[in-house]
This record gives sequence, C-alpha cells and structure tokens, in this order.
Amino acid sequence: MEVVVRVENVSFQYVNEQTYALQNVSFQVYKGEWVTIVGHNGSGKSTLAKLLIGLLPPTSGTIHACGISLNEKTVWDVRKRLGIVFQNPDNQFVGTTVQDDVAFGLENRGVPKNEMEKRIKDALQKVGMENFANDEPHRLSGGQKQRVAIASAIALQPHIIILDEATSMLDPSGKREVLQVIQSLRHEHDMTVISITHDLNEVAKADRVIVMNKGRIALEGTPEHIFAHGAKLEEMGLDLPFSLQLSQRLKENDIPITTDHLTMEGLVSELWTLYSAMSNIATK
Amino acid sequence: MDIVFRDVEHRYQINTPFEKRALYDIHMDIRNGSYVAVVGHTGSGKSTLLQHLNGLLQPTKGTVHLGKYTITAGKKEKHLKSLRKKVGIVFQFPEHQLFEETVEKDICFGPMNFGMSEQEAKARVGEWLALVGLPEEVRHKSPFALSGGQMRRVAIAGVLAMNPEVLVLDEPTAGLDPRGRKEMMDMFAQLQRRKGMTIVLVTHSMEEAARYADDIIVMHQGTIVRRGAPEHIFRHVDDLIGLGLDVPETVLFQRAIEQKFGVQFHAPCLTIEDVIKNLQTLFTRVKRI
Repeated sequence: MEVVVRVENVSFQYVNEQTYALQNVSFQVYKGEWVTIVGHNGSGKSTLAKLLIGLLPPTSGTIHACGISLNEKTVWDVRKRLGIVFQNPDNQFVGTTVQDDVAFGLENRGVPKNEMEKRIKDALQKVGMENFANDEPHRLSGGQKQRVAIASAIALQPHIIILDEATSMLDPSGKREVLQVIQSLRHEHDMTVISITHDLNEVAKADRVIVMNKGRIALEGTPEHIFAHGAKLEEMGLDLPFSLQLSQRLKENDIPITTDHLTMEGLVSELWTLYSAMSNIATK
Repeated sequence: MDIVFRDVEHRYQINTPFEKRALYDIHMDIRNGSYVAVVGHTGSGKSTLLQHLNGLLQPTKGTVHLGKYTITAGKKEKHLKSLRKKVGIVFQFPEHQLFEETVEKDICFGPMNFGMSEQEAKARVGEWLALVGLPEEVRHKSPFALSGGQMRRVAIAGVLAMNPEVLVLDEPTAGLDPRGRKEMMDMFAQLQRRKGMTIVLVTHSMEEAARYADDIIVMHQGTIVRRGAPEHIFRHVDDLIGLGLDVPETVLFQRAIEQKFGVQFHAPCLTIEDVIKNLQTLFTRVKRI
C-alpha cells in the first residue's frame, strides 16, 4: 500500500514550555485509509494536526506528506494536497457570502471560473447547504457554518483531509451526514482521512485508531483492538462505547455476560440467549 | 428569577431582503432555580432563543419577562445593564473571549465593570477559582498558557464572578474530552443545588439533557415543539428521531431489549444504572419462575 503520510520521530516543544507537547511520535498513513486520532485534551492531538499542515515546524524529526518532505520551502506545495477543517468555524471564514467563501480557496489555486462554479455547487450540495449559497456566513448557525467550512475544504479535492474535531459542533444527524459525505468522497477520489475526535462513533468507523497520551502514542490498532484496552483508556480520561461499559457493569452486577460487546446488537443477543437458557432451566 | 416568554418572535434583518424569521410562537416558563435543557437540530433557533435571555436580542413580537424586567417588542429597554449582571451567558468557546494578561485580571474584569472595587474583586478571585475547580496557582499565569479545558473554566469563572441568578450555557462541553465534560457538567449541577442558580443549558448531547435537566425544551425550525421532564420526553423515541435528534444510548438499548424480550419497562432508562436495575429485575423474575 502507498504511504501518503510518514511521521518519523517527531517531537515538538512550544516556546516557554518545559515539557514536550509531542515526543518521538512515529506513524504512517496509507492511501485511502481512515485514521482516527484520539486522546484527552492536552494529549498533543491538535499540535500534531498543526505539524501535519506545516503551521508549526517539528522541534526534531521529519514529516513526509504525499512523498514530499515537509519544510518551509515545500509547505505550500504540500498544502495544495491537504484540506483541513478546524473545530470552530468562526475562525475560518473569509467570504461575504457562503459561495464566496467556498470560492476563496479555489481562486487562490487559480481554478478556472467554469470549473470553480461547478465545484462550489457540487460541494455545497454534498453538505446540504445549496440553498444558502448567497447567505452571509456569520448569519448561519454553528453547525451550518461547519458544513460550509467542510464544503470549502472538499471543493479543493484534497488528497488528504484532516478533521480537527470538525464535527464536534454538529448535532447527531448533522454529524452522521457530514461523515457520510466524507466517506463517499474518500471512495470516489481515493481520499485519505485523518480525523481527530472524541466521538466514539467516529472512532468505531475508522480503519485504524491512534491513541495519544501525554504527547506520545499510547496505543495503535483497529477499533476492536483499542477498545479491548478498556481500563487503560479510562485511565487516560477517555470514554468507552456504551455497550462495552454496560457489558462490564452487568458482570459486576451478577448478570453473567461472557464477552465485552462493542455493539448493542451483540449485547442484546447474548442477554437473550442467557435469559432463554435460564427460563428453560426454571420451567424444567 | 422566573423567566416567562409570551408569544415571542424574532426576525433578523427586518425590512431587508435578508429578513429571516428565526423564532416564532415561543411560549416558555422557566421556574426560578430549575435546570432546563434546550435541545434541537442545528439551526432550530436555540442560540437566538438564548440571546433573548439577557436582552442581547429583543423580540420583534411578544414579551419576555425576566424577574422584574420586562422586554417588549418595539419598546426601548433602559435597564439592560443590571439585567445582564443577573443573567450570565457562557457562549460557545468562551475561552476565545479571554484577553487579559493574567487569569486574575481576566476574572476581575466583569465584576469591576459592574462596579465592584479592584480590591474586593481580587480578594474574591480564590473563591471563584475554587468554584470552577481551578487551583490557586493559575491566578498569576497568563490565561493563554493554560490548556483548552482550563481556559474555558477561567472564562466561566469570569461569568460566575458577577454572581448571576441565571446561568445560560451554550454547548459548554463542546470539544472537551469525556472526563472534562463530566467534571464541567457536575460543576453546573452543583451551582444549581448549592447556590440555587437557574441553569439554562443548550446542548446536542441527549445524554447530558437526560442526566442533568429537570425539564427539556425541544426546538424545531424556530419554535418549541416538545416540553417536559426527561422521563416524558424520552418516552417518544420515534418522535425525537423524526425531529433529527438523537436518543440517549440507554433509551435505545432499552428499546432493543423491550422488542427482543417482548416486555415493557415502566419508565425510560435515563442512566446506565436504570438499565442495570431493569435487567436485574427481569433476570430475577426468571429465576423465580
């Protein structure tokens, strides 16, 4: 598989801070993969995002994106291939109307007018904001703004999209819709997704999860593998999926479940089997 | 203070081509000292509604009563400053409003603006820090040297320092990690219990609404469509899903169990403890047959 992001031994220290925000972080992301990075506040997740797009230079170590070594000279070249959506959409608006805002990035890259119009329409439609093309961004609700920010990023058809808690301001259905949009773009354009999140549903959908703790990678693997380390995740201040929590609590409360379930269906079905077996014994 | 909305409407940019009706037919009563959660789809009017709670926005129709203050559409209101001292609003990402050199100065800014002496304000900083669970050491630090969660606490301390009777919170836990979220929510619950503060919480998290609120208001396309205690609201699961809202996982799980087992629990499960209790009853019953 083709490696699109290679982070090697990266450390980062903010000016005037004693401790490192990131320490010896190494990982790779493959083309078309959906990687989720989780960790408590202050674990270094957002710092990592800033390093990946060249907003901050690593104190030591190297980052390669799309085969280019990221440094001061190549940063603009790399950014052409990246899209990023931050948590707070208010910080990322420049246009006076929604469509102007989406156009901004395209104009910067010299996309021809016809193509630009098509892409704007397309991007706004994908996030369900086509009826707001002439609205002023600051009049929109928080979630609507975030959809526009996502439209602006996807209009650029980036190779890699980085979501820095980009859905945290959306309501649940908005979250699902946006994730679906990104999922389908990923399939259509073989886009790679790096998502930084607290949302467990988002974690469960990832191909691979990287757990950050105190500036280091604490765990890495499939969602199933990660959630198998329940106690360790809780120690780091992270949540566990509801079904897993409930499985564990039921065992403590004398309902003899045998597995820690990641899905509700799994848990309901085991409870039913158990219940049926018990009522059979009871009636005999 | 009791909060009463009667037939409130709000239109943005009235008499312009951009005119947009953001709220209509709002009738709402919030009892003094209660904890109310406002939920609704993105763009349902939640944020517009809460800006009416301290006169940041005035209704374009109808009346808002806030304790002894009355804000009526079309009338100029003079006493907004003293009203704003009594209703503290914590906006989304309040940490973006921090600006002073030290945490102490930032927290003192509000109360001093409302006439408290610098000496008294400084003397009370310790109390306010404790209220939001921050250590005394941060007092002389720059707020910008703190973590995101700590910065948010500083901003909230600045609002609490004005000793409001009503605390309005717009998505106060967005972007915090699970532990930070729980600590923050427990803090607001304590402020309600210990200080008798009225809490109005705008949230997307049905778990938070179910666990903490006495009453839930459901907004949809600019108006209130449901209102009641969590036990009542979460009885109508399909209804909520139809409004584009989520249902707490405990309630979803309960529904899955009820369907599979052909039983009906007597009330919606709002916490994981409720779920466990109901399952225990179910399993004890089968043992006794």
